[in-house]
Amino acid sequence: MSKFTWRFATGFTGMVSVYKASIDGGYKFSPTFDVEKNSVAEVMTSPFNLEYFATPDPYLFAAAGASFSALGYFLRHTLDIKAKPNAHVQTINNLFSGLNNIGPAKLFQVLFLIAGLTYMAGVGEEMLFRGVLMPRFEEYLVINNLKKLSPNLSDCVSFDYSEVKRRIEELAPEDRERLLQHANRWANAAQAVLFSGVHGSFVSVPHITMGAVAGAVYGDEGYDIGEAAFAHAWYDFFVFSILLIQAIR
Amino acid sequence: MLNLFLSFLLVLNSPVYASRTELGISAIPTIQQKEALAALENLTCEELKDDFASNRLNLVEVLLGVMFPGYAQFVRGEISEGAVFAGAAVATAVAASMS
Repeated sequence: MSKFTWRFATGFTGMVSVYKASIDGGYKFSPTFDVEKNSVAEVMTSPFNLEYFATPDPYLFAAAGASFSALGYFLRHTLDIKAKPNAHVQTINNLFSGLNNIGPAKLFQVLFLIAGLTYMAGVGEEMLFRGVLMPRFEEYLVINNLKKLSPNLSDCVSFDYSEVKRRIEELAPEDRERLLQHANRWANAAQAVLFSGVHGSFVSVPHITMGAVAGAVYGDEGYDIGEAAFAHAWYDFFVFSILLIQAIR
Repeated sequence: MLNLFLSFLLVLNSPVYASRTELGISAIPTIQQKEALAALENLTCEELKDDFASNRLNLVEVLLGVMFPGYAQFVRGEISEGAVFAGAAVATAVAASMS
């Protein structure tokens, strides 16, 4: 347990530090992300920002998760298909093993641990995957495709965002939309695969889809990571609570 | 491989994209961003490259920054801020190992 929380807590601090460095040092000039970024404090308080309950996107994330849970339940209990749990699932299962017949004090301790873990997972992973990697991939794709669209572009364009911005604005509206949408989709796919990778397997359909939905939730209007962090943290808390209830029954 | 293929299909055809009418490019930059962009416009290519290299993290640095909190600040020359993150990581590690 302590080794798991140790890795988790330092990982969380690392993700926050990388996000902080990325918003201080650069993505503000990114062609597709030419909007004000959420500050670290905004993202860290977003799971407690109840305004997000009134927006539809967190429910989309929850609905995707619930669909996969229902499918998993159906496969396990109705069709009796049991997949071998990967290392990540095994770690989570270990967290809840041996918890039957625990007293209220221990139960409170476990709940506190769950709250901490789900908060760190929600906020940290959103900061890293949606806040740092996705804009970076998107930017890479935009600049590379722009080089193909405008062959006479200087080599310096990779470092010159004002030039990139100007070139994008010069494009025909359909080309511009296609360029940005293509970059957004593939960047989202790439970060979703990496997101799945840290959850035990690079080819896990539920994790890739959940990662992609979080990326879409983040990118659909205004690029608000707080929204994705809110959805992710509360979804994880809900799932972990169900696992806890199953474990203590 | 089938899993991977299905995932990509799901990702690329996700119906949530249908609601994407506004893309980031149409958002209005903040005043600070406008000023920073204006300042960048006057730099030469070499200066832009230097600015880029000193301000931005590459993917290896991102990975190292996640594994070693504060590393990202350290490579950007923000040593004191890096020390705060490193200290916070050590403190949480000690607290977690004591629980």
